Amino acid sequence: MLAVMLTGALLALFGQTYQTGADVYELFLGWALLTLPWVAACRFSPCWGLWLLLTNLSALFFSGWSDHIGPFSWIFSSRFGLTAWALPFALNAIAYVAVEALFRSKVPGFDARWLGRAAMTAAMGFATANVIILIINLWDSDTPKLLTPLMFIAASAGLFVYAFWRKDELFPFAVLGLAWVIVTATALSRAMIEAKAGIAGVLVVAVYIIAAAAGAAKGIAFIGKLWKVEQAEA
Amino acid sequence: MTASELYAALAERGLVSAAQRWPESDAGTLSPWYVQALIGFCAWIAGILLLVFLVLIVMPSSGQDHGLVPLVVGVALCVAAGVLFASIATSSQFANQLALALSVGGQIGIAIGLGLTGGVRAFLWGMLLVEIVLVIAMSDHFQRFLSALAAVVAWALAMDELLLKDLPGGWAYSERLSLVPQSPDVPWSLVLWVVVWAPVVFAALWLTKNEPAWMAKGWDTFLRPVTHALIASLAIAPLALLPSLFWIALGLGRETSLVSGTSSMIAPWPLLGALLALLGLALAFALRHRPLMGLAVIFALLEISSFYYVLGASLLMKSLVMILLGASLLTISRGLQAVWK
Repeated sequence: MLAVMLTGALLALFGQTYQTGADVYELFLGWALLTLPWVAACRFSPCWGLWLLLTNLSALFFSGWSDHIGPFSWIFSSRFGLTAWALPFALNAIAYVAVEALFRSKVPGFDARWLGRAAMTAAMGFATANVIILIINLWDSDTPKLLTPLMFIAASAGLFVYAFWRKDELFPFAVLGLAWVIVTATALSRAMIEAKAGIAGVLVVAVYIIAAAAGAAKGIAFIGKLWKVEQAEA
Repeated sequence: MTASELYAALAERGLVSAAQRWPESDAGTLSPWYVQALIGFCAWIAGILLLVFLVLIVMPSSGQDHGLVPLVVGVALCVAAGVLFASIATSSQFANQLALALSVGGQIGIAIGLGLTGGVRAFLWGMLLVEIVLVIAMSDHFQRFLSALAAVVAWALAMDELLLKDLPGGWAYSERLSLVPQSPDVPWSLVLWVVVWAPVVFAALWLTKNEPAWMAKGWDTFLRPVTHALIASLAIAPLALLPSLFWIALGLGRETSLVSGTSSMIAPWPLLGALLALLGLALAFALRHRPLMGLAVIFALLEISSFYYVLGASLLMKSLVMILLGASLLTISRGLQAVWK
């Protein structure tokens, strides 16, 4: 793990000394690619976590340029109604599926639950950010708007169905609950602004958040009880 | 042995008060941490929105900078938070977090109101009083911890303003700023340091030393958060007192002379902060409180970093100081290990 970290320091020093002209995302991408064999050989969850962080940083910095450069930049661009956070979302969603599969297969290095949870939280976080940006900034523009909400709904539905089917942890429901409370509260705030609701709008949103959070917590508790009953019956 | 049997045995030996209520086990009633995080986050957002709503609804339409409105709203929010804490906050995580958000919002409102009506001195001494009242009145552990910590910060800043009068907003601040770079008043700064920290250090030492005694008397719910806050303040609060890394970072007050390296007399100042943080570390270790130990370590390192930057010496000199210090500490460590063996 120390070698993985030192590789980045050496790459940064190399770039600083010889002024390679590389973008920041290239530093993190090169760092992630070069250290992948060590990370795989290491079989250590925190090392995989560090590697995922590097790939996330690379994707984030790349996304800042997605309208200009890169072979796949045309996919993750506003012409399809997507924001810059679509690439990190896709990356983390794939990472979650891969980590979850390896965790279930008991592959060494993927035996920690937190790794999959982190990837899932990051994926839903970026999906939520996508929708929030759409609601705040892009709603008035001429770009197609369906893809981002569809992406968010599909990710939410997929995660809900999978977690409900596995019946072994409630964490995904908490992530989903928070994401939906944030997205719906943002949409409600936007609607209040459009309706020129004024001060009353602030109260409406506050009351909605209280009700939505209470509903989410009750829903998660209900699912937990349902699973306990099913286990008892089985 | 169950918890109640342990409590009965302790009461029999006089180690805890027989009248003291044993804390009920909450393992079966508490939600998982991530559900609590979801609820807590939403409660904070809702609390802030409610605060905005109340401020907007009672704000006078004339648009004058009147301190009475935020003061009244702040007091009302703190009272509401106190009622929530005393009633349903123990059984509802949402109510608990909402109460905390309302309380923080209320304190901000009171601080703004005091500042607008009475200036920086009224703000500092007023907040010291408010925080002490909240420590006594609020039944929540975390709220008491935050209030006690804020009280120490207010105490440090109030004494600084009283003795040296050069806090931003104070009457002497602009006058002093116009004279920089200048040499800070070292003797007065040391007097201020002793006056501020002596009572805090004494209280933290006394509370740590007498922990079994006050636990046995059933004062745990009140004195536990206060003890933790005093220990945390030994690490955190030195940053509130001029001169410190925090104020240097803001570029305010006398610290211009420190950054420029023109004031060698005051350069070791951050080491006093590091010493307080290390005392906090020792007390946290005595209580076996790992988060407080971690906090003390982080802030001791910050103070050491601050010393490094304000030393006003060349890199070579700093390197030599660090080498000598490291070698001395290693030697002392070896010596102490030999003594303990």
